Amino acid sequence: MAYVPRRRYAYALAYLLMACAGVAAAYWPAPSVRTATGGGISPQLYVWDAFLLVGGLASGFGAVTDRWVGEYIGLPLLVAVFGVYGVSAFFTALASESPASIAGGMALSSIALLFIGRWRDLGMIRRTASVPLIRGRPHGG
Amino acid sequence: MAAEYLPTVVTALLSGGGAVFIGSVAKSWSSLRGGARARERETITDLAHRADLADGRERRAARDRDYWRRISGNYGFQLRQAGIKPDPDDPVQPSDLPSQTPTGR
Repeated sequence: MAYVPRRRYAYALAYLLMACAGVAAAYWPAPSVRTATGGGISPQLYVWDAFLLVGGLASGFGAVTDRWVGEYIGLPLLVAVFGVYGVSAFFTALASESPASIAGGMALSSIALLFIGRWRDLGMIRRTASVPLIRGRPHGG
Repeated sequence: MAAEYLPTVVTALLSGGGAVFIGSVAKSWSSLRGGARARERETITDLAHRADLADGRERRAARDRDYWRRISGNYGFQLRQAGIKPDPDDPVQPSDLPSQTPTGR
Protein backbone atom coordinates (compact mmCIF):
# COMPACT_ATOMS: atom_id res chain seq x y z
CA MET A 1 0.00 0.00 0.00
CA ALA A 2 1.31 3.46 -0.89
CA TYR A 3 2.51 5.62 2.00
CA VAL A 4 0.97 9.07 1.98
CA PRO A 5 2.00 11.52 4.72
CA ARG A 6 -0.86 12.85 6.83
CA ARG A 7 0.56 16.36 6.93
CA ARG A 8 3.11 17.95 4.63
CA TYR A 9 5.06 20.31 6.86
CA ALA A 10 7.63 21.37 4.23
CA TYR A 11 4.83 22.42 1.89
CA ALA A 12 3.01 24.13 4.76
CA LEU A 13 6.10 26.09 5.77
CA ALA A 14 6.79 27.09 2.16
CA TYR A 15 3.23 28.32 1.67
CA LEU A 16 3.29 30.15 5.00
CA LEU A 17 6.47 31.94 3.93
CA MET A 18 4.73 32.94 0.69
CA ALA A 19 1.82 34.38 2.67
CA CYS A 20 4.29 36.30 4.85
CA ALA A 21 6.01 37.50 1.68
CA GLY A 22 2.65 38.87 0.54
CA VAL A 23 2.37 40.93 3.72
CA ALA A 24 6.00 42.08 3.49
CA ALA A 25 5.63 43.00 -0.19
CA ALA A 26 2.71 45.29 0.68
CA TYR A 27 5.13 47.39 2.74
CA TRP A 28 8.29 46.86 0.73
CA PRO A 29 7.36 45.92 -2.85
CA ALA A 30 9.89 44.04 -4.95
CA PRO A 31 11.51 46.63 -7.25
CA SER A 32 11.10 44.53 -10.40
CA VAL A 33 7.40 43.92 -9.75
CA ARG A 34 6.83 47.59 -8.88
CA THR A 35 8.41 48.56 -12.19
CA ALA A 36 6.35 45.98 -14.08
CA THR A 37 3.09 47.19 -12.53
CA GLY A 38 3.57 50.80 -13.46
CA GLY A 39 6.43 52.08 -11.39
CA GLY A 40 4.55 53.42 -8.37
CA ILE A 41 1.96 52.14 -5.95
CA SER A 42 -0.62 50.75 -8.35
CA PRO A 43 -3.76 48.59 -7.91
CA GLN A 44 -2.00 45.80 -9.82
CA LEU A 45 0.75 45.78 -7.21
CA TYR A 46 -1.80 45.27 -4.43
CA VAL A 47 -3.59 42.59 -6.45
CA TRP A 48 -0.23 40.83 -6.78
CA ASP A 49 0.32 41.14 -3.00
CA ALA A 50 -3.20 39.87 -2.28
CA PHE A 51 -2.72 36.88 -4.60
CA LEU A 52 0.52 36.00 -2.77
CA LEU A 53 -1.15 36.30 0.64
CA VAL A 54 -4.42 34.49 -0.21
CA GLY A 55 -2.71 31.84 -2.34
CA GLY A 56 -0.15 31.15 0.39
CA LEU A 57 -2.77 30.95 3.14
CA ALA A 58 -5.17 28.73 1.17
CA SER A 59 -2.41 26.36 0.05
CA GLY A 60 -0.87 26.29 3.55
CA PHE A 61 -4.27 25.41 5.02
CA GLY A 62 -4.55 22.55 2.54
CA ALA A 63 -1.06 21.24 3.31
CA VAL A 64 -1.55 21.33 7.09
CA THR A 65 -5.05 19.82 7.14
CA ASP A 66 -4.48 17.33 4.26
CA ARG A 67 -7.33 18.85 2.24
CA TRP A 68 -6.74 19.04 -1.50
CA VAL A 69 -9.15 21.96 -1.85
CA GLY A 70 -6.70 24.40 -0.20
CA GLU A 71 -3.90 23.95 -2.69
CA TYR A 72 -6.32 23.46 -5.57
CA ILE A 73 -7.77 26.95 -5.14
CA GLY A 74 -4.57 28.62 -3.89
CA LEU A 75 -2.11 27.48 -6.54
CA PRO A 76 -3.63 29.41 -9.51
CA LEU A 77 -3.02 32.62 -7.55
CA LEU A 78 0.56 31.62 -6.80
CA VAL A 79 1.15 30.67 -10.44
CA ALA A 80 0.05 34.18 -11.45
CA VAL A 81 2.27 35.71 -8.75
CA PHE A 82 5.40 33.84 -9.79
CA GLY A 83 4.56 34.32 -13.47
CA VAL A 84 4.46 38.08 -12.95
CA TYR A 85 7.62 37.92 -10.82
CA GLY A 86 9.46 35.94 -13.51
CA VAL A 87 8.32 38.19 -16.34
CA SER A 88 9.33 41.24 -14.28
CA ALA A 89 12.79 39.82 -13.74
CA PHE A 90 13.18 39.12 -17.46
CA PHE A 91 12.00 42.67 -18.18
CA THR A 92 14.54 44.06 -15.72
CA ALA A 93 17.26 42.14 -17.56
CA LEU A 94 16.07 43.55 -20.89
CA ALA A 95 15.55 47.12 -19.70
CA SER A 96 18.86 47.41 -17.93
CA GLU A 97 20.65 45.53 -20.73
CA SER A 98 22.22 43.42 -18.03
CA PRO A 99 21.88 39.64 -18.00
CA ALA A 100 22.12 39.53 -14.21
CA SER A 101 18.34 39.15 -13.77
CA ILE A 102 17.95 36.40 -16.37
CA ALA A 103 18.81 33.70 -13.83
CA GLY A 104 16.23 35.12 -11.43
CA GLY A 105 13.63 35.23 -14.19
CA MET A 106 14.28 31.61 -15.08
CA ALA A 107 14.17 30.47 -11.44
CA LEU A 108 10.93 32.33 -10.70
CA SER A 109 9.26 31.14 -13.91
CA SER A 110 10.25 27.57 -13.09
CA ILE A 111 8.45 27.86 -9.73
CA ALA A 112 5.30 28.96 -11.60
CA LEU A 113 5.60 25.92 -13.89
CA LEU A 114 6.12 23.58 -10.93
CA PHE A 115 2.95 24.95 -9.36
CA ILE A 116 1.06 24.35 -12.62
CA GLY A 117 2.20 20.72 -12.47
CA ARG A 118 1.15 20.37 -8.84
CA TRP A 119 -2.24 21.96 -9.65
CA ARG A 120 -2.82 19.47 -12.44
CA ASP A 121 -1.97 16.60 -10.07
CA LEU A 122 -4.49 17.98 -7.61
CA GLY A 123 -7.07 18.08 -10.40
CA MET A 124 -6.56 14.33 -10.79
CA ILE A 125 -6.99 13.89 -7.04
CA ARG A 126 -10.19 15.97 -7.12
CA ARG A 127 -11.63 13.75 -9.85
CA THR A 128 -10.55 10.58 -8.02
CA ALA A 129 -12.04 11.89 -4.77
CA SER A 130 -15.40 12.09 -6.50
CA VAL A 131 -15.42 8.34 -7.18
CA PRO A 132 -17.35 6.49 -4.43
CA LEU A 133 -15.28 4.68 -1.80
CA ILE A 134 -14.63 0.97 -2.16
CA ARG A 135 -16.67 -0.90 0.42
CA GLY A 136 -14.80 -3.02 2.93
CA ARG A 137 -11.49 -1.24 2.60
CA PRO A 138 -8.84 -2.74 4.89
CA HIS A 139 -7.55 0.70 5.95
CA GLY A 140 -9.15 3.50 7.91
CA GLY A 141 -8.34 6.40 5.61
CA MET B 1 10.02 48.02 -26.72
CA ALA B 2 9.25 45.40 -24.08
CA ALA B 3 8.03 48.09 -21.69
CA GLU B 4 5.00 48.74 -23.93
CA TYR B 5 3.75 45.17 -23.57
CA LEU B 6 4.73 44.55 -19.96
CA PRO B 7 1.58 46.03 -18.30
CA THR B 8 -0.57 43.99 -20.70
CA VAL B 9 1.36 40.81 -19.90
CA VAL B 10 1.12 41.49 -16.15
CA THR B 11 -2.62 42.20 -16.42
CA ALA B 12 -3.14 39.06 -18.49
CA LEU B 13 -1.26 36.91 -15.97
CA LEU B 14 -3.14 38.34 -12.99
CA SER B 15 -6.52 38.11 -14.78
CA GLY B 16 -5.79 34.54 -15.87
CA GLY B 17 -4.78 33.56 -12.35
CA GLY B 18 -7.92 35.16 -10.94
CA ALA B 19 -10.15 33.46 -13.51
CA VAL B 20 -8.62 30.02 -12.86
CA PHE B 21 -8.94 30.68 -9.11
CA ILE B 22 -12.70 31.34 -9.50
CA GLY B 23 -13.05 28.25 -11.70
CA SER B 24 -11.18 26.15 -9.13
CA VAL B 25 -13.41 27.39 -6.32
CA ALA B 26 -16.50 26.50 -8.37
CA LYS B 27 -15.17 23.03 -9.27
CA SER B 28 -14.12 22.32 -5.68
CA TRP B 29 -17.48 23.47 -4.36
CA SER B 30 -19.28 21.30 -6.88
CA SER B 31 -17.12 18.22 -6.12
CA LEU B 32 -17.43 18.55 -2.35
CA ARG B 33 -21.18 19.08 -2.54
CA GLY B 34 -21.36 16.00 -4.76
CA GLY B 35 -19.84 13.89 -1.98
CA ALA B 36 -16.14 13.93 -2.93
CA ARG B 37 -13.69 13.02 -0.21
CA ALA B 38 -12.00 16.11 1.22
CA ARG B 39 -8.77 14.51 2.38
CA GLU B 40 -5.97 13.97 -0.10
CA ARG B 41 -4.41 11.08 1.85
CA GLU B 42 -7.68 9.15 1.93
CA THR B 43 -8.11 9.65 -1.82
CA ILE B 44 -4.61 8.46 -2.71
CA THR B 45 -4.83 5.50 -0.32
CA ASP B 46 -8.13 4.49 -1.90
CA LEU B 47 -6.56 4.81 -5.36
CA ALA B 48 -3.69 2.53 -4.29
CA HIS B 49 -6.20 0.07 -2.83
CA ARG B 50 -8.06 0.04 -6.16
CA ALA B 51 -4.77 -0.77 -7.93
CA ASP B 52 -4.14 -3.64 -5.45
CA LEU B 53 -7.63 -5.02 -6.10
CA ALA B 54 -7.11 -4.80 -9.87
CA ASP B 55 -3.80 -6.70 -9.52
CA GLY B 56 -5.55 -9.35 -7.47
CA ARG B 57 -8.32 -9.73 -10.06
CA GLU B 58 -5.74 -10.07 -12.82
CA ARG B 59 -3.79 -12.74 -10.92
CA ARG B 60 -6.99 -14.66 -10.15
CA ALA B 61 -8.10 -14.52 -13.80
CA ALA B 62 -4.67 -15.76 -14.99
CA ARG B 63 -4.75 -18.61 -12.44
CA ASP B 64 -8.26 -19.66 -13.57
CA ARG B 65 -7.27 -19.42 -17.22
CA ASP B 66 -4.24 -21.69 -16.66
CA TYR B 67 -6.39 -24.15 -14.71
CA TRP B 68 -9.00 -24.51 -17.47
CA ARG B 69 -6.29 -24.76 -20.13
CA ARG B 70 -4.78 -27.69 -18.24
CA ILE B 71 -8.21 -29.34 -17.78
CA SER B 72 -9.12 -28.98 -21.45
CA GLY B 73 -5.74 -30.43 -22.45
CA ASN B 74 -6.39 -33.42 -20.24
CA TYR B 75 -9.88 -33.88 -21.71
CA GLY B 76 -8.45 -33.81 -25.25
CA PHE B 77 -5.86 -36.40 -24.27
CA GLN B 78 -8.54 -38.62 -22.71
CA LEU B 79 -10.72 -38.37 -25.84
CA ARG B 80 -7.85 -39.38 -28.10
CA GLN B 81 -6.97 -42.25 -25.77
CA ALA B 82 -10.60 -43.45 -26.02
CA GLY B 83 -10.40 -43.30 -29.84
CA ILE B 84 -12.55 -40.16 -30.20
CA LYS B 85 -11.36 -37.27 -32.38
CA PRO B 86 -11.98 -33.90 -30.64
CA ASP B 87 -14.13 -31.40 -32.51
CA PRO B 88 -12.70 -29.01 -33.53
CA ASP B 89 -9.57 -31.02 -34.09
CA ASP B 90 -7.26 -28.06 -34.54
CA PRO B 91 -8.91 -25.05 -32.85
CA VAL B 92 -7.84 -21.46 -33.67
CA GLN B 93 -7.61 -19.00 -30.80
CA PRO B 94 -9.73 -15.80 -31.12
CA SER B 95 -6.75 -13.48 -31.60
CA ASP B 96 -5.64 -15.52 -34.65
CA LEU B 97 -9.03 -15.38 -36.36
CA PRO B 98 -8.99 -13.47 -39.69
CA SER B 99 -11.70 -11.03 -38.51
CA GLN B 100 -9.44 -9.71 -35.75
CA THR B 101 -7.60 -6.40 -36.26
CA PRO B 102 -3.78 -6.46 -36.27
CA THR B 103 -3.74 -4.76 -32.85
CA GLY B 104 -5.72 -7.66 -31.41
CA ARG B 105 -8.61 -5.47 -30.27
